[in-house]
Amino acid sequence: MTETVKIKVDGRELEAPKGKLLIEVCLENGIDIPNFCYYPDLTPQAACRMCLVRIERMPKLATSCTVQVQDGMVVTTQSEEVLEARKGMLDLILGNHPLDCPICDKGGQCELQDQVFAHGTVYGRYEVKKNDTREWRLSPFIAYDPQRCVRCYRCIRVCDEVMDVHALGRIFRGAKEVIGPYGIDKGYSLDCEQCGYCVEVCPVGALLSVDSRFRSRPWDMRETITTCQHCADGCQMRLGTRGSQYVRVASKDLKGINGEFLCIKGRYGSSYISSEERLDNPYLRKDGKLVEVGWEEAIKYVAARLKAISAEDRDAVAVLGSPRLTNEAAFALASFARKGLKTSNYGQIADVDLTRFFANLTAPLATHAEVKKAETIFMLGGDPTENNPLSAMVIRYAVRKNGARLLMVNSRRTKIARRQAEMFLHIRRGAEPAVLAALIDSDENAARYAELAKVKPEQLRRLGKAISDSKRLLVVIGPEVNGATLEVAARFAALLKSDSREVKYLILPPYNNSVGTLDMGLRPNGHELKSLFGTKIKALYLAGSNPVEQYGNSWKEALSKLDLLVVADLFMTETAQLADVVFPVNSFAELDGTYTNAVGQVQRVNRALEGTGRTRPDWMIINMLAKEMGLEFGARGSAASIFRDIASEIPAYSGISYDRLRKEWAIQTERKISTTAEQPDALLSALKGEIAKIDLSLDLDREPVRQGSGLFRLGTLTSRVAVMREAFKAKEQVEEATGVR
Amino acid sequence: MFSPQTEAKIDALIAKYPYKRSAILPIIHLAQLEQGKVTEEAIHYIADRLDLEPVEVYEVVTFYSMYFMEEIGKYHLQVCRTLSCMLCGAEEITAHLEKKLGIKPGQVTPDGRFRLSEVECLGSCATAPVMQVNFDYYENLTPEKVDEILKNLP
Amino acid sequence: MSIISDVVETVKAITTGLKITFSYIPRQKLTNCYPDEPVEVFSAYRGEHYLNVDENGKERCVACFLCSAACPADAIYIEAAEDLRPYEERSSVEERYAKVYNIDYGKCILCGFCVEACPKDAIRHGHNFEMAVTNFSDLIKDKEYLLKNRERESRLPVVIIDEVKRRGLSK
Repeated sequence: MTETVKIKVDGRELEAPKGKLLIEVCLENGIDIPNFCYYPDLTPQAACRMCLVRIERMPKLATSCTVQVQDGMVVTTQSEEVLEARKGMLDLILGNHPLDCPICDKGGQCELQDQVFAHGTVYGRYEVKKNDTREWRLSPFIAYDPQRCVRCYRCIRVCDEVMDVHALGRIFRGAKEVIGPYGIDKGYSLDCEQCGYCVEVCPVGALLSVDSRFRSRPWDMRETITTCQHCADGCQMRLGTRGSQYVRVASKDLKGINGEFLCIKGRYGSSYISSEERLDNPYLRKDGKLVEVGWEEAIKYVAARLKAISAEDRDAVAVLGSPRLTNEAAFALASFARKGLKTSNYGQIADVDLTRFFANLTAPLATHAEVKKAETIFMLGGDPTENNPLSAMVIRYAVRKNGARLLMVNSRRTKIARRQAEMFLHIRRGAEPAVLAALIDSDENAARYAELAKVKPEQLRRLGKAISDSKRLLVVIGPEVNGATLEVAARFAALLKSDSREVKYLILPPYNNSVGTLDMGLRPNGHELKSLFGTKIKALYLAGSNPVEQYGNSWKEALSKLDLLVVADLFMTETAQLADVVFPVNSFAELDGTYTNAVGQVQRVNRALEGTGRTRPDWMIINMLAKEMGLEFGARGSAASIFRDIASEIPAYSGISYDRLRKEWAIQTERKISTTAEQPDALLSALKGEIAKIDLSLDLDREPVRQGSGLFRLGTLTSRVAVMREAFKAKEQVEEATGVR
Repeated sequence: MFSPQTEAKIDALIAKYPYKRSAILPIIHLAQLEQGKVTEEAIHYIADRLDLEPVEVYEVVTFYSMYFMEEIGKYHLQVCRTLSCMLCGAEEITAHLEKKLGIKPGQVTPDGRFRLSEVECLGSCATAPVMQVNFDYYENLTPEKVDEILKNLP
Repeated sequence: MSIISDVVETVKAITTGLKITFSYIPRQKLTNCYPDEPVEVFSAYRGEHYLNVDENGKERCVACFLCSAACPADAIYIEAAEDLRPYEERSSVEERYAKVYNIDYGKCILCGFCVEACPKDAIRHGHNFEMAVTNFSDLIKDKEYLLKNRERESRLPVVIIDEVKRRGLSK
């Protein structure tokens, strides 16, 4: 505990920890101090000078965003002098600020507007001509209007400190100063992760999203807080809609797990919900061509066919979901297959099998808030910067703010390895089991494991020492760790846990609901079932998955062997084109539901749009089919009641309800943690097979991971996002042609 | 990137400061001296040497008025325009140079021989008006004297 | 009450009434023979809106949505768009303009809040009151119609009277 001090602000006695910033103490106690450049967690700047206050025994007014509280400090925030100073500062800021609020997208939620209303003068005292500058398009996503800029440098600091991208700088000086990337005056564009965090923190309309440009105004759109559907971090976001159209995604003032952080996909990757390409009606194959039909006809057809095939052999019907479905949809799908169709062939198409991880878990999963406070982080594989940006952000935060030790083992030179890692073991591809074995095994075998991983034995020893020295350890496991290695990684914590050492896990699965769909009973067995297509399996119901785009021709061939292929999807995907029947489903914006993120937190997906009325949620299609087929599997008529079933059937979800989720936002599910003591020898023997698989002819992959290799990749959803498709399509084509990623 | 002598100086400068980035100003000067301007390659090189991002070097280069990203010209005529010089006729000198060279302050003559700049106090108020040509001072100027100076430049 | 007094009272009443009637015959008429004659309306009359243009004929509206926000009847629908061409080439004053600008006169209560709210003096009340249509959907007027309304102003069957001058209030 740090020392607490007593200070007096406007006659009120306040207590605060010593060294805390004065503005933070005031704001927390409800004393309003206007500010532009202050931003929580960023280094103080004192650039805008709006937060001037009078502190006794200080010669001049002081900026409260840089003053740390000291015992006995007496502060005045409301005197004539302070109010006059604020007026003066606003006058200076407005000296060059254009009064084009009607055009500016920020108008209506602009901090400058608010502060001028609250603290400014009615008439400006400057009568000089304003600098007229044109607007810059910094990138396909971000536009910059230098005239509106108040030079608070929040954008630069957030880019440097939170994102660690360092893409923005202050170019030129004095009245000509602009915020921009390298070579802004030479027409160079912003080369960064395009996360748009700078746009979010900009207090005025200087930095703006091109994506939502002029589409609506803050008071004119409806904002719904929902969960991002891209990666497994499950960031909360505000989805702005107008009428039936997508407008934008924002994250200002959010109190969810991600705060105001979003990545490019979170911020700009949702406009596909209003894409022209969305399916609007069911399709049925007639004479070899897919034609639009009504729901009744499509359902009747599928029900009859499924019934006929199922009657011959129950297992001839397969049901496959995807890790993108909501928990409700996955649960309905699994119940339909298990209790309705009574088939044993159901699951999902996914690359990472976390079943073995959760079955052998020996330490709890850390939430993102806990990762921020981590003391030692051991990362085995994974590139969160590209694939799980929030996890990357909290890991960077732990290193930046708490000086956490980051020990990294990876086969690629990822950005975190280059910039944050204290120790980076660059290993051979697939050599993760060797490193894990080296940490478990005694020291005499270190040389052998080092040889396998292509590192020095000394490095492995130092890694082992750093882990054994740690007090609070976070083990991060990347998606390349799978099979027996993943199981051993899950059991590994049992060896490290002790009274003096706390161990937690963080996994980095690829999809938004990889964990949730697994909990709902959809095992990632899609690739195994594929081999049975045409022989044992005659019909397939495929929900929300596009394996042809993802895995190519092998799936295309397998799917064409089926007698009946039913696809439920948003778009006429490559897979849907092969189908006999295609059902149009609701996007995440048009339905209620829940996702379970990588750390096992259940979060709500809230309905933001009405939809056309001709699309249905996945679970509803299942219910309709079951009804038509006369199957009884306990179908429910709403997402909330399905979730009640989930809560009563799946132990990890018991006690969670929509009501609680509304109040608590994110509720971590409780995982079964095995408490049996592990023997190092047992773990080593489990690893043996995996170690034998290491390809010793592989050299180290020295090519650093390029920015955007995961973030900018276009998939089924993001290729329907106009702004992303235009920005990255050309690039992707070049990469495909040259083979360089 | 640079000549061995410059590289040696850069190494010495980096070694001199507790933080690498502190050496940024003199290194940019060295780069400019060698190449006649601050090139983009130089910015990337310096950023690499100092563990900075190119934009951070770019900030510094665009901030200071004595770094040039375009050709400086063979002779950089810097006429002082601060108070003492102004009162003693600096404006007249500038106007004369503008007329004679056919360029405005901040521009370079088409043959690349002269760049004209107006600068703030050169610290030689007693001998106002003053002009600095590259690193040399010329004092107590009159338009005639300026003509003479320009004529005598090699 | 006798019959005589009844007659006297009746005649009295009729004459009183007719006196008023006849006294008005020589006076100036207060009614208009609309539609044969133009109607007098005050300059501040709030008739059908028109969209204003600047001195070069460029639309003043920047689609800021303030009018639709101010509208108590929710009668105004706008969609904004961007036109990055130079001023000379584009049809609007600023690079932001209204792609769609609809006023639904089935909802509009002609209160004038939109005109008050407009920061660009882009929307004004005209003096047209002939808004009857035979189809409900025709009550929705689009941007083109509203822009043309400005020119129609001069051809309206109305005489606009300046209240200030008429009452002799101006200096």
